[in-house]
Amino acid sequence: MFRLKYLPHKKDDEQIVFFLRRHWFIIIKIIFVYGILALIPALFYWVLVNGAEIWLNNELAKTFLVLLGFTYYLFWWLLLYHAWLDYYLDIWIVTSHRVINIEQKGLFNRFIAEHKLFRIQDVVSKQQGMLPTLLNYGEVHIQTAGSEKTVVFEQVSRPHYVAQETIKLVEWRKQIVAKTMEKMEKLDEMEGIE
Amino acid sequence: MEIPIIIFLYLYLMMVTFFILFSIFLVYHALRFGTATITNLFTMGLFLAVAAGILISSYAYISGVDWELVIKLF
Repeated sequence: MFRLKYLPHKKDDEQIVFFLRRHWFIIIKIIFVYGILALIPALFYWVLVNGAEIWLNNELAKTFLVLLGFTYYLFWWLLLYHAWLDYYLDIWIVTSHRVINIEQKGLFNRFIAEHKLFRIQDVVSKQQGMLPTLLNYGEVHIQTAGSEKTVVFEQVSRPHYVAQETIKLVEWRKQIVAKTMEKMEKLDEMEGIE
Repeated sequence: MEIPIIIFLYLYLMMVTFFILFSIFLVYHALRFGTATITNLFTMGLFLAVAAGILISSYAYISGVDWELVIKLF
């Protein structure tokens, strides 16, 4: 299992600033839809009892329908767990050094990308629609240098705050990198003089 | 023409096999890529418990059915 303490290639002074998943409302919406789907066999049974009892009296038809019901609930449960994992395994981590983007796209498609903070050029937050505004969730788009692709934190809580803090981190990291570069240039010059 | 109802059982067992294979993949993903948290372990345990419940219930039902019966079409 993945332990936050042991991030891959973690530096000694690296600290996790944000550990993000989609907003809780997204999984509630999925559970709600699956809750409705769970009622379909019960509704079907109610229709049979009230309108087509002959099916329930026939042993063969009954066996067929019961097995169909078991199959339905097996796959309903399987797909619900799959939807949960799809939600749970999508992670965005912002540390004091980098942004890590881990996305599970389907069962056999896992995408992991890592971007150094000093290479980030632009951070934009978006909140579109009534529910995202009310519940305060949305997207954060991060544009990195040297790559046309944008990292997108999808449906995360407090997108504006996350974007603001990420910008501050990027600026801070760029200053550190600039200072380090200056020091290195000075060292090079001194070596040149000697 | 007669069709033995055991065909329903075979079809159901095929579905159960598919379910088990798919479940193994999902649990593997949760174990391999999930975070080491109570939530991950709890949801995995819940998934396995409910799946076992459905399978045991279906076994209880299946064992009570007379699979010698046939469907007469003509």
